[in-house]
Amino acid sequence: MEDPSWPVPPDGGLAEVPDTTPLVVSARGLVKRYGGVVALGGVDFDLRAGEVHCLCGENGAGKSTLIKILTGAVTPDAGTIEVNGVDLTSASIKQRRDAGISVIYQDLNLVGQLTVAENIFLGHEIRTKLRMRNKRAMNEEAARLIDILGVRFSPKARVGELGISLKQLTATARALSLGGQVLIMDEPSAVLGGKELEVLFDVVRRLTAQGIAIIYISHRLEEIFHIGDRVTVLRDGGYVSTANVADIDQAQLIRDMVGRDLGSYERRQGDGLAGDEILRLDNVSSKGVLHDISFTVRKGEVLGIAGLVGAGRTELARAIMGLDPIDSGTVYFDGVPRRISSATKALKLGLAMVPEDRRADGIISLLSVRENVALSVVSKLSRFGVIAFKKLYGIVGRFAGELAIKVPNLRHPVSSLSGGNQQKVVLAKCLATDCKLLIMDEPTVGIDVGAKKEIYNIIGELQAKGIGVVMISSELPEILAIADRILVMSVGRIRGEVNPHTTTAEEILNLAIPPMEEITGIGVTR
Amino acid sequence: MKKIALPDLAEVFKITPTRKRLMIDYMAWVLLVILIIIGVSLKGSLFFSVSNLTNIIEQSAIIGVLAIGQFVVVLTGGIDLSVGANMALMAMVAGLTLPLGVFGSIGATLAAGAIIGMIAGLVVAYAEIPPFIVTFAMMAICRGLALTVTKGEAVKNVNSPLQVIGFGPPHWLVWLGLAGLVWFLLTKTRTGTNIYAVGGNREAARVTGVNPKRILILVYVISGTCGAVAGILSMARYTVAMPTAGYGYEMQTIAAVVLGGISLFGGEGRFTGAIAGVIFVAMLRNILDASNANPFWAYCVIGAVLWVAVILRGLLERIRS
Amino acid sequence: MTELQHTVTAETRSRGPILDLLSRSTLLIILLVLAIVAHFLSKGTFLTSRNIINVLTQYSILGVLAVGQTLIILTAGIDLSLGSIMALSAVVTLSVQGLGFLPSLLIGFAVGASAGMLNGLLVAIGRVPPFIATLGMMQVALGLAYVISRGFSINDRGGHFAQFKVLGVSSLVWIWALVALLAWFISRRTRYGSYIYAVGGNPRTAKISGVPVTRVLVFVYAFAGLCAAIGAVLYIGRFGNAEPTIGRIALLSMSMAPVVVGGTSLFGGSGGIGKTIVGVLILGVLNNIMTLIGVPANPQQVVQGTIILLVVYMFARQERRKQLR
Repeated sequence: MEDPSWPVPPDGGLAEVPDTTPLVVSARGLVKRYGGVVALGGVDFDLRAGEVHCLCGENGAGKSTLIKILTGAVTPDAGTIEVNGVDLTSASIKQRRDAGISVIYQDLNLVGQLTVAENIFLGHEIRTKLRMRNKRAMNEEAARLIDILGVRFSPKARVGELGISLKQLTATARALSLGGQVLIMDEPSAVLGGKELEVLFDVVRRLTAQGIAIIYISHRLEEIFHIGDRVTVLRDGGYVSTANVADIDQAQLIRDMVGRDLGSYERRQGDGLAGDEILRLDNVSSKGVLHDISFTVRKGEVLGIAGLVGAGRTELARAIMGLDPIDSGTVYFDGVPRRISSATKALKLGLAMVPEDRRADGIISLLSVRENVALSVVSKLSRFGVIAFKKLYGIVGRFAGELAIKVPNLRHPVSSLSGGNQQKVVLAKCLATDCKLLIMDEPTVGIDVGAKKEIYNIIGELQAKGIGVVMISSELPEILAIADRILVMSVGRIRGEVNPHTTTAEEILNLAIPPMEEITGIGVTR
Repeated sequence: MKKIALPDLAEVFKITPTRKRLMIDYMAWVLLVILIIIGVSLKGSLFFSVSNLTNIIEQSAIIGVLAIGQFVVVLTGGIDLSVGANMALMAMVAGLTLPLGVFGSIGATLAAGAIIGMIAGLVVAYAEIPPFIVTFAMMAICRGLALTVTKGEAVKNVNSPLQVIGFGPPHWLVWLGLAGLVWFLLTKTRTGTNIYAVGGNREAARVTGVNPKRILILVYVISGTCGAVAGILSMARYTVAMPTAGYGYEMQTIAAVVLGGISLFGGEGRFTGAIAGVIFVAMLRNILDASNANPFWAYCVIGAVLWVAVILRGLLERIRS
Repeated sequence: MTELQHTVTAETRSRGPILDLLSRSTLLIILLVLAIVAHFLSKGTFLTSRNIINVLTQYSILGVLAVGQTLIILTAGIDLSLGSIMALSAVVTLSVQGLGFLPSLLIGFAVGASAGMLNGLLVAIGRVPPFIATLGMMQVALGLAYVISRGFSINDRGGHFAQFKVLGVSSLVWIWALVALLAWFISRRTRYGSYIYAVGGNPRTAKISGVPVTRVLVFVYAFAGLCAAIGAVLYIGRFGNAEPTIGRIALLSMSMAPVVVGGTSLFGGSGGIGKTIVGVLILGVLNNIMTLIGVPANPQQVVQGTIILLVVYMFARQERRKQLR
């Protein structure tokens, strides 16, 4: 356990899977179109018994479509799927499950109100001769399955009250109970921290040792090298490559995924014109979420906040915006201590936020671009509640133009725009308020490369105007290129500040991975 | 939306998730005890007299039967606003089909109730319209039908053979019998788990091979059939079926099941709690009837009880632990 | 195709009440066809100005309630209690009529608005689902109406509230028009109007964008309560008396019917006052046709319920098709 981030496998290394291992799944030439969009264009995919086959690709590469086709949730337009030599191309979800294919979705698909055992056996309950539910048998069998996974927790616990890691294990036990030969794990690590990851890897190894084949989807490349046997890369719905993990390096993998080298982020020449302080947090805490957060943002600087998912970055942003309560500590804005109790107050002071989940928190898809952009500024541009439309639409038009939102007409519904343009609408909404400080939570998630660049340029322009920017990002290359200073968070604390000019991705990751003793929730017997 | 954070409360009372759930599950029982204390302090020993208790239980029976259906529907995250109107219509069906004999009449009524429920269920399941709209429209349809069938008059059957039911098994026994049946369904069968699962996480239920549409139709059929049973009981008891009968019953049943700790979002709720909730509502009406206040205060009080129950449950739910 | 539809709906949104009406051409065509059918069935008496004014007068009470209901449904809420609130306000107004016309009018308005406001507080702060909060209010308001009136009908003794004609059209219709115009102005021309659409479209985004969600919700429910109180005055004006049971009149307790028939989405954020007025007219003409072909009043309720289901189903399907795109 010298390196807490990537635990060493107990057997000391990765087992080579010989090519003679029988194929469990063999898919050929899978094609799926949605209207004119090709989601998957002729993809081949093999899976051998007992291997961990990683699936990689950027958002929209076709990973989820492939998974859906394998599970039978989506019917392919062309191509064949064989499982254990049997053609299952047109089989139903249930037939495939009977053939041994099960999925652990990212959202796990558990019913929080039921117990662990009830969830494991949902849809295939063990019943007595009188066709009644046999609760005892189910609890016993569930305990046995949990034991196979090498962990301990009560099958009688209600799933809603378990931590995320135990929920995931419940979903895994469920897959086992179905007699799964093929287990598809969709981003299982996205929500896990250090020690929980270790448990996950251990479980994966135990399962493969029993001959179960695993399709492992992850964004974290390091994991692929740690746990994977083979890796298949998809890009824009097309098949790129399949390789033994041992024969490939990270740079090659990234090239395959992105189709280009990552050199395209160019660091803006820092002119160091950071001015007066705009925002200062002094020992801000929120029970169980944020602990003793202190930092300063100055005019014209970009403060990056890095960390893993669940580090408390979004919670910090929400607390500053007055969306979540702060229990102790002080927030100074323009040097004055402020109690910001709602987003309305925050916006009045000159704070604005581009939220992480654009669809859920950023846009109102039913409304037009114009109405979306106008939303935050309409209060300033109305007299006795009546909107001054001329002025309002003037401002909306100005910002839409400045940000080059591509839309034939501002009366178009925002839902008809691409992800990047929707993000620009959210940005325009914030900027129209004449904010002095802009918090951007993962501003480039799910948008294409061109739009990303435009967003970076916009950030540069904001800096030039003296606006302070707090940028939360999980993309290390991005945050390294854009931020002037970087704070690294984990488990609700700031673990350190690094200089993007001198630091490395490794240094940030080391700070971001939480110390072992702070993660609990594994091995609890109830 | 104001944030009502109750962190300290959780700490002071050491509220674990388990205790929190117990509090929600037994909310109705606690309130029932409080109500009994109020009842005793108002009426003294008279409150515990056999005749008064019988009265309360008898009053519970019809609402209780309807509440069973309401409970099952709410478990799936739905709501049935048509229970009262359905009961009124079913009482008429029972009265009008009496020429078929007692069992013929009962059979016809149960079938009619199941069909009404099935229509609602089909629309909820396949059209994906919010249940409150579907059942609100259903309420209008049932009332309209009840008024149409009799041209606004009551169906009278002074010497109704259905009174056999009145003399046969007491109504509360019918209620408890039906309750036992549904309790068995919910706790001992696969279908029961599926009902909870569909209410708790419909998508999860679907991917595990449960057919949510079938479950949805089933619960509305159960509710419709409960409406038929309630209609038969009401016809047997009052020997008249008024097209306006059962007005406000939808609210009393909802109040009862919510007091019983059910989650309006589905997936959560103990059946026994709903029974306590029904007795609570009946007892409340009994106490209000006994006090000399204008009987219509009962409407207001039960409406307010519904609000309090939902808010109270929401607060308990939101205690951070 | 769907792109085009999007454009059409989005474009028409802020053009003005008249164009707004015109662009809902499908519904208007339905209305026209129904009117022509009615005209033939009535042997040429339906489409006379006298009869049209009659229909408008008949449906003005429902129309006023539906205006209030529209703003609530735009926020993705629902108010099942408007009929009961109307009954309560009517009973209160008439039971304090001894205080004079204006005071009793204002007291009635205050009662309606506060009942609505209580609904709003329950929804926004109590986090009670709208249909539950207002179901409770349906009973509470009705109970109060019974308690206050002791179950009897109260007459408008002085005839102060009686309807009168302006330019040959009943005052009831004028009041409906004014209320509708006011609601249209609020929803399209004021800050709160844009907030109403935002809250209905996506409450989370609205909140982050600085929209005072609680206040907006309380406002729409209170406004709807006020509309119910205005509806009460219209009722008294038309019938000269009031009793608690008027809240249970099938037509009036279904004030969401014209709103959904007009095409305002039950999921919030899309629709408007103009559509609701078309919805009221469609229902009005339809009911007239039923009366003309001899359907008695009671089955009309059945038809009404069925229409709601059909229309909501239609719109839900259309919505889904858009999403599937």
